[in-house]
Amino acid sequence: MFLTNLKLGLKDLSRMKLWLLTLTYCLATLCYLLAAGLGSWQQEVILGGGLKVTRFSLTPVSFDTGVTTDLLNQLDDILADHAFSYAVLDNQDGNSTFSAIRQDATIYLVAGDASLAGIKPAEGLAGQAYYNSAYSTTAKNLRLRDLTFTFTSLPAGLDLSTLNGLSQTDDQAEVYIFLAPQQLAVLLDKQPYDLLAQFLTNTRILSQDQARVQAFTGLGSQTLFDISPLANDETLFLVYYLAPFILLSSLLLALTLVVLTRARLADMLRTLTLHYLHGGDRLALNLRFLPVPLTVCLLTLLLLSLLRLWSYPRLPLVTSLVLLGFVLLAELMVFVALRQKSFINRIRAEG
Amino acid sequence: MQSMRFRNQLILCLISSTCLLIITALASQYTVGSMLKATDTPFGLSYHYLEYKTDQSPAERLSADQLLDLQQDTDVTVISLDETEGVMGLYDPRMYYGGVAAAIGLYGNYRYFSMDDYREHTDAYIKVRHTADDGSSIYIYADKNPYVKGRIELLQIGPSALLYDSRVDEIDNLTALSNLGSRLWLDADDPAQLNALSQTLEANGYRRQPAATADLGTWFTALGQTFRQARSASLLTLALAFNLLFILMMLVLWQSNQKLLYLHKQNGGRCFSSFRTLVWPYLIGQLLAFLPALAFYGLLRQQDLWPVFGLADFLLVCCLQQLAIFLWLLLSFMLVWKRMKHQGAKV
Amino acid sequence: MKLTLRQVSRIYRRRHFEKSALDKVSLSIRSGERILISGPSGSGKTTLLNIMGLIDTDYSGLYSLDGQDARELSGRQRAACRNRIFGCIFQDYALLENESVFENVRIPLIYAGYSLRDQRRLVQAQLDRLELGAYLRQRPRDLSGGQRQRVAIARVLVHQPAVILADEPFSALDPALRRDVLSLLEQYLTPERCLIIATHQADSLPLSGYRRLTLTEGQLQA
Repeated sequence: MFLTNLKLGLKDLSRMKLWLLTLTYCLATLCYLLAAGLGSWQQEVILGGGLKVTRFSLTPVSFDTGVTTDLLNQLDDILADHAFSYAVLDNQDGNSTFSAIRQDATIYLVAGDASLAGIKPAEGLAGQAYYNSAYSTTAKNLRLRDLTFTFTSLPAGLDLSTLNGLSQTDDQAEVYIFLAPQQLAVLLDKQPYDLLAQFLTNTRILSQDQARVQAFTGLGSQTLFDISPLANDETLFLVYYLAPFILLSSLLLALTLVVLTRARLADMLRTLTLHYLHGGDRLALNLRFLPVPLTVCLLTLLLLSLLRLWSYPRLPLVTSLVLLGFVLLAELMVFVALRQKSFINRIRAEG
Repeated sequence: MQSMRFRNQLILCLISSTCLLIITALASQYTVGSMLKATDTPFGLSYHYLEYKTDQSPAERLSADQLLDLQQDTDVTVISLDETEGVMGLYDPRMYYGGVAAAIGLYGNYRYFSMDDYREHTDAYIKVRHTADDGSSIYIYADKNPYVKGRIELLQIGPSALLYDSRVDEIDNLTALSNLGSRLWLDADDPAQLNALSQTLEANGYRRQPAATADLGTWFTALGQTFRQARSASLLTLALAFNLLFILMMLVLWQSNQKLLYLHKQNGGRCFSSFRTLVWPYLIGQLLAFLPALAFYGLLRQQDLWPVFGLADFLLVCCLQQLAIFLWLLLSFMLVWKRMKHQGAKV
Repeated sequence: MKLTLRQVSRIYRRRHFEKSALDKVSLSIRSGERILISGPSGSGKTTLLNIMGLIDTDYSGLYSLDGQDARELSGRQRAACRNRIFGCIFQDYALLENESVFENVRIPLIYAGYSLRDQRRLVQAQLDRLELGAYLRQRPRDLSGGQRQRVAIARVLVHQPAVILADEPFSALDPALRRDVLSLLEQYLTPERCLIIATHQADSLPLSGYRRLTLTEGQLQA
């Protein structure tokens, strides 16, 4: 009986080819947009701890590379609050400055408020260094220039995966050094500003703290380098542009589904009535509608495969959730419509 | 004469058409924005750029100091080219071409023009190399010991750099040149900032040249490039697909109300008179759909997310979509009415 | 099979409207009986058949099938009863115009769990009995009025229900076809099966051996 109803439902599909194809296209596109939006959202909002931050670009305007202690102190002050920065070092060339660290390790130097980069928990990290499982050492302390850090393995609860989108791999030796206030100035004092430049370009400052943003852009005073804030349209674009677009599209899609289902129910009222009178129960009648959302799902998956979009991050997850929601919504609507007393009343009226 | 069911269906369609209106406005604005970004502009300037030309002799032309107020004009980029002399001048205090310099590393080997260079008319220049070792060589270390004493070579660029021009061998500090070139390109983030400079140039013998974006062929190329970007292609085609869904929705609306149409017909209604009678409340609602769309426009404008469309452009897009919605409504009605005449309604 | 209605009432309620369709109807029907329910339009005949056929459960009073209260049946049990016990015939034939005769007739067999092969065999046999064997793949809209009514009857008889509920089965037919249809239905009757016909045209039919009941404004008079 169930199989027969499914077969009959499949037969009904031939009458709604254009609907199916258009719905499929809309669903596939929505899935893609949602995946793309979620990706940017994660990058911009979640990684930023949900806070709006300003980023910067750096242009060298002097051949001079000498960094004054004064400048470093200013940077330290800026990074003391509402700001965050980091630098990544590959230690393979045996960088003499950091020779205390194994040569094959990648070093992450982190300064400022780590919570701005979504590092949780951010409290109590300052002045400490951590190594991951691929970095084996028995050393309790790590010494860099005039600085000493306690050196321990990464705590289990510490979420560093959001830091500059790193994928933590177990086979890559990594060291994370969280600098305490004033340590940056000590570490980089009288050094060429190559490393400092990384800190400068990676700096994020809470946008609401405009005084700090201006202090930062005035750091070079156009003598060594020029720092300009980057337009941060992505978060705004996501919140004010893409999110309403996706929401309105979903609403339109749901309304289309409502109209389609109602029209199909009206078209099939006679058929459903006869099936009901001759022993069909609501479950069996519901099954008759199942091939429609299932076919749309299959076609959506097929379309996404044809467009070779499966490798797109988060798309499989988003698509699974959207399609599951779509099937549930479609079946729920049919279920509710068939449960309504008006359906029985209409059967009586027809009968 | 309307049934409750029909009225409810019309309300659903009205909500859908309002969504469709906003979706289309958002999608078309995004697509046009992407197309403008994809437009091939001279030296990779933004689509706001302006181009000027003059036939004046070098002695007659303005100097950079006469055109620019170095204290005020800090958010503009000016490129000057003297085709006969093969000299290019650059004034770029907003570091439009300087930002990527940070990606090279090895600081101290090259630099970009500084504000001091512009203020002090430093004889600094960017050397243009016409053969690059490979296509990726944009910035090459500066030769810090140039042959000509007193001149400062900042960096070298190859053919793949945005500023590259085969006619010039070096890009000079514009304020160090004695006069502007015969051709000028201006750009700024805020188009309003360009107005003052435009007026000065037009008052001093420079003629504005048509922008690259005025060419239809350029637009088609840009549209092609835009469609290669998955996001803009998705937004626009989704808006088009929703139009198709809307047509199908309208067809279903009229088909499921054939009984009503038949009653109108039996009682003397003709196609257009019945259409008018049945849909006039919907049309009023459709006009009201401008309100949420305008509210949306205001919100995005406030957030500076609507830089391409002005109010007039926005209203034009909305009117076109509204017209399309009306057409879909009418055509689907006519189709169902015609089929009803041939087959008779299922009453 | 024994159908019992005791003090059954049915009131239709809308927002500002209330209408009593059946008013304390009591009735008992046994296997083998032929019942004729007559009455003018709007007297409650269809309502009574809907309650008896387990389509409408929104009534007050008691309706039982072989002593089992119909209201205590689950949705699935009611569906099974509609499939195995009752067969309904309607005035407008209630055919699916866009489907073939086979698709129309096989509906009760689907819910009885027959395989497709058995469905084909049973439908073909039933259609042959009603001289419609050649029309298996035709669509009802291509058939004459009499043939369409026979298709509707074939659908009811194919699964051999215990009770046939015929609601105004003759109103769209001419006198000759009425007799034809009636004889088809009567041929089917056995001591285990019963036939209940609701019509407002009782006088024009050659009905003998029927227990005649009259419904007037929802009240039953024997």
